[in-house]
Amino acid sequence: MAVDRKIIRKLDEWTAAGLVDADMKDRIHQYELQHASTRGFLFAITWLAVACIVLGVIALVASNWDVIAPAVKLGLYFMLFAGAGCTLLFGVRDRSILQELLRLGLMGYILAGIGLVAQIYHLHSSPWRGMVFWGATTLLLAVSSTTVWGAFLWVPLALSGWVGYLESLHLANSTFTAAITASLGVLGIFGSFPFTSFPHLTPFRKTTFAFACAALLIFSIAVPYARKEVMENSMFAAFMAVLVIWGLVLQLNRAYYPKGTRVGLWIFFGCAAIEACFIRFGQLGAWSNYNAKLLFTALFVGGTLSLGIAAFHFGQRRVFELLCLFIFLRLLVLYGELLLSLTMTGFGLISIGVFIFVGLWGWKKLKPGIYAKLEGQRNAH
Amino acid sequence: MLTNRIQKSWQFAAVLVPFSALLLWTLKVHFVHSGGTTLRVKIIGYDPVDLLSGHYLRFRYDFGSLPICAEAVPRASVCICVDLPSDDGVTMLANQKVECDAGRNVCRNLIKGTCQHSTFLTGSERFYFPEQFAGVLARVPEDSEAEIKVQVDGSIALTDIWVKSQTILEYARERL
Repeated sequence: MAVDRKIIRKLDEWTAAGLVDADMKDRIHQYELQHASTRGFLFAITWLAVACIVLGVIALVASNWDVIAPAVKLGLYFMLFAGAGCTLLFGVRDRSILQELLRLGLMGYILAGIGLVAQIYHLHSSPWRGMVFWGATTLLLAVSSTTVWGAFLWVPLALSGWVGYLESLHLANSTFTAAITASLGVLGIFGSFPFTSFPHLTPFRKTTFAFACAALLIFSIAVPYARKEVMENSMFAAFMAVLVIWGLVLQLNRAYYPKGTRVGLWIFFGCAAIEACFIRFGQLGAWSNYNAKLLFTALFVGGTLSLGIAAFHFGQRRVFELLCLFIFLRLLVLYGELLLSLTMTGFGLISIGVFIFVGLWGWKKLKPGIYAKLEGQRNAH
Repeated sequence: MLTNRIQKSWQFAAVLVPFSALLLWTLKVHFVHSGGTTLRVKIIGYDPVDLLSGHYLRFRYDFGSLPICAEAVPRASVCICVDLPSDDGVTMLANQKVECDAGRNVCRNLIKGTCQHSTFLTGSERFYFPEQFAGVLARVPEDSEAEIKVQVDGSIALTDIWVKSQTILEYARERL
């Protein structure tokens, strides 16, 4: 695996500027070669291959071959598991990409194993029990993952098990939604701690943080269509408590988060809180459809833009661009929602198309200036 | 150095924990399925289901005409005492409902379940079969019986389904 070209370019720049000597440049180059980035086209393809193999194993288990005795199936399964585990711990110790692929493959293999045992012994249980068992047993694998893929696999599946467990308790609606909100909040708050003494936790906690932010974004998108009953006392209390605690955790870790990131996230939380207050206390029924839609769209745009700026200040430019695209799409949806007749729809669709072209042209022209200004703010902080 | 050691311990635990948990769970399930009293009970209501988890039959046990779920609290445990089949082969029948806590003192053969939508379910009403028999097992003949292991606490483990004197897989294999 080759060293990232950006790193090579930077090393050349620093060498030319006299910041690093040739010896140090070689040592850094060798180090990067050994710890080659797992973000790349080749890794994506190999991850796809691993995912295919794991899904194939699950499908084979599901087909339930009659010719192989159950004891043999189980014996083979555990032997392969032990073999893969030993390879992960001893065989590919110095090859981080293979380690990572094995780790992710094992997570899927464990899910297949749970299905195999259930099938052999005709176990009948709610799916959430299997997910909770899987989540509990693979947590350490997900946490020790060196890429975000481990957490991307673990978080939604474990969360589905947790939601299934909450459903099985047959809680009142408001308690149920409050519990879900608190759970997502815990993900975000956990992800906000830098754990600088445990750098290997970084991919996992970054993913939990991203999931929690995504959940808050989805809330912002869905809230204009929500009824007041969704935001009952316990849900409202849980929601506000999560936002406050999350904001405090960011402030407590201010050495890790640039000021621009913290302020951006606080504004994002603030917009979500205002939306929640409007649902809970606002007499939105008395508002015209037009005014309500404008209000929530403005809050969405403000909150999402702040989140994007927070991401930019943290070095996540692609996230900033993605969120700008979301804002643009949301404005198009608003525009479409406000159209009333066929004639208006016709003119509206034409102008939407024109808007898209104008937006793309404007983005191309304004991007360097916006980035320069944001970089300036970032450096000032 | 400490971080490296912690990291290595994490790695070991990350592999050892799921392996041990899965192995222990498998052994537990195996021992539960091996122990208990082996009985047969008539089954009714087939609903072959194809899922990513595999092909399986859904059914319910026929414990006779006792109204097990009359006045039952939804999702609460319900226990019944069953008579073992006599030598002429009459299937196992429920003779009374009992409190689950005191059930073991009241009857020799206790079966525990819950009532869902007026149906008494024990949590073992699923039989996985190989994919190749999916076409044959769309309809199962009448008078099929489930072979079950009844544990002391009333829980049931399903071990096989019989169609007269054949297991259901032998029956399906003949009709492929």
